[in-house]
Amino acid sequence: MSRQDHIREFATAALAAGRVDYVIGWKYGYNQSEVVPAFVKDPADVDQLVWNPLCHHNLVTFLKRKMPDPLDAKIGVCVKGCDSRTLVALLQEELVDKDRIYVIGVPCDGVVDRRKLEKEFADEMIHISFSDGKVGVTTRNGETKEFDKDAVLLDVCRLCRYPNPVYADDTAGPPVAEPDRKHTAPDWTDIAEYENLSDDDKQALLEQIYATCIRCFACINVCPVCFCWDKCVNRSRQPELVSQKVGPKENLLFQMVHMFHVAGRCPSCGACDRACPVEIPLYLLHRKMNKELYDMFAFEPGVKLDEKPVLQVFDIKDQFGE
Amino acid sequence: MAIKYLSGDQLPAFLGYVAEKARVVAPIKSDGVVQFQPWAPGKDVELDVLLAKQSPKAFVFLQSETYLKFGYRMEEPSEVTGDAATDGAEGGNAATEAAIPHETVEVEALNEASAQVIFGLRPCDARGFVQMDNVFGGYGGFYFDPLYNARREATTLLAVTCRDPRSTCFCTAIGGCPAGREGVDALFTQVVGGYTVEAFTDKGEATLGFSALADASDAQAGEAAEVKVQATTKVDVPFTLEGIRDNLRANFEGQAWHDLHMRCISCGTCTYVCPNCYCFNVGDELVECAGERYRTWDNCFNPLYTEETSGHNPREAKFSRFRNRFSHKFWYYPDKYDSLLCSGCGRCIVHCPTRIDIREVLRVMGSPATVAGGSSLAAHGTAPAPSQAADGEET
Repeated sequence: MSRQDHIREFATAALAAGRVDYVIGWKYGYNQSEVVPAFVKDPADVDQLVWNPLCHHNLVTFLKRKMPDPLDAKIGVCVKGCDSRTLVALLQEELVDKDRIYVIGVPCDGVVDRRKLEKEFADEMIHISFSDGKVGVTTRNGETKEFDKDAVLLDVCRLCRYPNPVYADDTAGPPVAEPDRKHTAPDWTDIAEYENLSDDDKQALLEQIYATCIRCFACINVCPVCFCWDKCVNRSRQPELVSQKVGPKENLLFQMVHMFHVAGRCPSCGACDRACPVEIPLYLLHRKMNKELYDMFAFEPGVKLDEKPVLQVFDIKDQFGE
Repeated sequence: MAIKYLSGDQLPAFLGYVAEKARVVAPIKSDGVVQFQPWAPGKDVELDVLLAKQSPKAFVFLQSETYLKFGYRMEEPSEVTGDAATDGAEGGNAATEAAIPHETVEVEALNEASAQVIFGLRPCDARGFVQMDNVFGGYGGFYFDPLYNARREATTLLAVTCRDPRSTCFCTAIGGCPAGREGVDALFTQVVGGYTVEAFTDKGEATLGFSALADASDAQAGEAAEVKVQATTKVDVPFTLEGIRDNLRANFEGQAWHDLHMRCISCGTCTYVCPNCYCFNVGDELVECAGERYRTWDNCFNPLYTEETSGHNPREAKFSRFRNRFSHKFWYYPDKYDSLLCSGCGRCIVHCPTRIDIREVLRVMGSPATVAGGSSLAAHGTAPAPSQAADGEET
């Protein structure tokens, strides 16, 4: 039984039993090269649900405050490993009511980066298929190409330490192989280049990459742990705390506020990166913050349900040692 | 005017010629992303990618723009004593004036617009400007926006025919065309070896004094005509406009809005990549006694967009903000300006983080109420008058 079949089975059962009002999963978008979040209310519609390496959306964002419709809906939600960590981060702070959700965990062996594929073609992609570690792409004018899945994975997936959900009520199929987390530290090579820059160069680089930001708030709204999204300090006009003007410096401040507010909750799922319409590498600062937290506190966000977010506890040992 | 021909290798020279008199803006690729940017010799214009991420509206309707600088100076009353009267620098009158605290306010209005030529936009992008003109250009005498109009006046639009429209394009469904003329000053069409060029306005004509422009041969003109026909047949017509206004009104309370909006994350991507969306907000920034007033783009998905001073927000729910965008484009705006606020470029579909499909929304909500589900306001005889929509009307 495939993971997709498991998802459909769990969804059908939960809907039929009235355990949830709707189940959030993934389905194909306007063509078969795109997957979009699916909201299934009727057991007859569960066949829409799919599971494949295009399912990049972190659906936990649809649980955060003011997102559900109706607001007190009981919701079933599918989570990959990284998604489950954002859910745990919300549960740690009691920002999501555990009794209102039903979690279908989906062990994940990596999501492909659609933008990497997109850049291989002048034409638009209309169909993407998967078999035996290969990704097959067909374009509108009939061109086809095959890629190794490993070569077109999302960067965050290459570095993933939690491919299996850390929290789930039911799990779609057997777990996938995990790295040895006990004996290996996270791999931070992706940000080494940034870390080696001088302060001035860092400032210049950040201003350059954020210069194209259009302040659409996709990064903030798509982020599951950015839960004050509708009352965001970044766009408050009364008082105006962050300048609403666009510009390299203003945009950098805007992104810094985002980064600091999710520090300790953000497991670098990369949802912000993928949502950004102008393709800003937003993961950079978030990964850097994750590294700082790991180095200082040996903390990985959203891993244990009974743990407190590291920046919300004060332990005198942190400052003065044992 | 006769159709001209520009050979492909002369394009940089042509842009250089235009750049002598005006800033040239064109779609340029940097870091793999195609956006409209100021062009300079040596920069390649990217025309193979059909649509830049954003329409070039940001060059006429700036994303953020300071238009007023102001300063306060408070003169404190000085001590009126015998000393003041004996102070040689101040006469008796000055001493009396200085006794009253008074404030000086200095205001300076800014509105700079220099000539610019936008090259390489698509006819749908140009049409977006025409629809914004209605709002900012004083249509019906409501409002005339000096900032927008000064720039619009100084801007020439040199569009390029879409040879190979995307599956998400639907310009023909709403009265446009891959070789549309609306708002276009001159149209370039890619043919073998170069471009045919047609000017439709005096502004367009004025950019065509370039010496290497030749008259197009009959064969070239014929090829261009064929390209246009071919392109037009490639564009899908995914929904019908027939009755769409009435149906949207009838479906205002339709249950389907709740189903369609679920995957919306209420960001502003669709509105900021849109060639037509024009909402903005105004703010002041003050440091000590000097400040500036500026405006920035705003969007109806911003939860603060409709928040009132009292704290009440008539569009508190995400679905009502979602409903507003489509209703505005196909119902409120058409009621006011008798035109649609959409040019069918499909950017909102392609760049939406969850790929919300405007075509799907209009297929469902633009259909009679039975399809969209839920109660029909019209059927209950409580349909709001077009200009007093319950959900508010944007200007």
